[in-house]
Amino acid sequence: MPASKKSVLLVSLAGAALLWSCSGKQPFNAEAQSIRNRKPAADFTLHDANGSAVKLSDYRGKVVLLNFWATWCGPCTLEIPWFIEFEREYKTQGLAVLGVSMDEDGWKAIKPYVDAHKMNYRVLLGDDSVSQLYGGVESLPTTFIIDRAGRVAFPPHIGLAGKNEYLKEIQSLLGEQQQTSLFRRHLPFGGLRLGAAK
Amino acid sequence: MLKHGASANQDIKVTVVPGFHVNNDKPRDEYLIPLKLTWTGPLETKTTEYPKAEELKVGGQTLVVLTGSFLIHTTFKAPDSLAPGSTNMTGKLRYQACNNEMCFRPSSVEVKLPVVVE
Repeated sequence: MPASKKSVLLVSLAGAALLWSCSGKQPFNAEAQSIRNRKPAADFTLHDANGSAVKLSDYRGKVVLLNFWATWCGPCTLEIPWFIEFEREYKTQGLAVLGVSMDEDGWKAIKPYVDAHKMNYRVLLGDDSVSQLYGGVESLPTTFIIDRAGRVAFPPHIGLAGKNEYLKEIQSLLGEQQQTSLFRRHLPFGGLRLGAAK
Repeated sequence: MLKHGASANQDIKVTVVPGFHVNNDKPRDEYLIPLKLTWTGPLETKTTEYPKAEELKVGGQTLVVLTGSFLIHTTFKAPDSLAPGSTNMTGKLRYQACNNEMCFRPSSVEVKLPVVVE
């Protein structure tokens, strides 16, 4: 088995290029899709670090930032402090951050990371079936912003996004509920004004 | 062609798509997934040598990564007990690729190495 040019094996990591072309970054669009055009976010059941089952539909009524991530993902690490801040600042207004970890080593890898990074939001252990529900999630981070009615309100963020992009989207969805509440308060009976005919 | 008890070397050429990097075999961050070449087959794997990594700053973090094309060098030894004839070694390269904005889930590629033992 002499080492010669002919016997040098070529290993191409072409898969990475293929994946890249399949999951190019979406242009940022701060405008929420019109409510009529929003698609329901696929429901799932995953488990948190305590073994508790968590369903996405349990969060109906809240704005959800659903972040697929992994401990080995550098760009994910950059976003995590933002999500910690969002959870702290907007939780009382109805935001819930959910981190779905795609770590193959499971909680053995995730728990120390969550502790070290002081992650204050709920982290779930993801699996391939859930990633398939969200288009395969071949690259991380991938983040979906879901409205209070459980619908995906913006194009997904595939790859590292800007903190302000997330903020604008979150604030716009949190504001939707306030507008709806205001509307209901001032216009009872579904907005109809009833009165005696003159 | 390899004789009983003899050693031989083999390089594997790896090419990473431009714009991407893979972690080296000893990433500084314990959470990062190292590049790892493992061989299975009738030959003993004596040593596997990975290339020198380069430093890459991403978002305030300094990573040690490999980019472009590089070689991984393996030294094999044919055990005395190995019967003459043709056989194969199978190499499995586990890697995890990222660019500055995203990472792909860990993956593996396989290479077959035909071996003739005298």
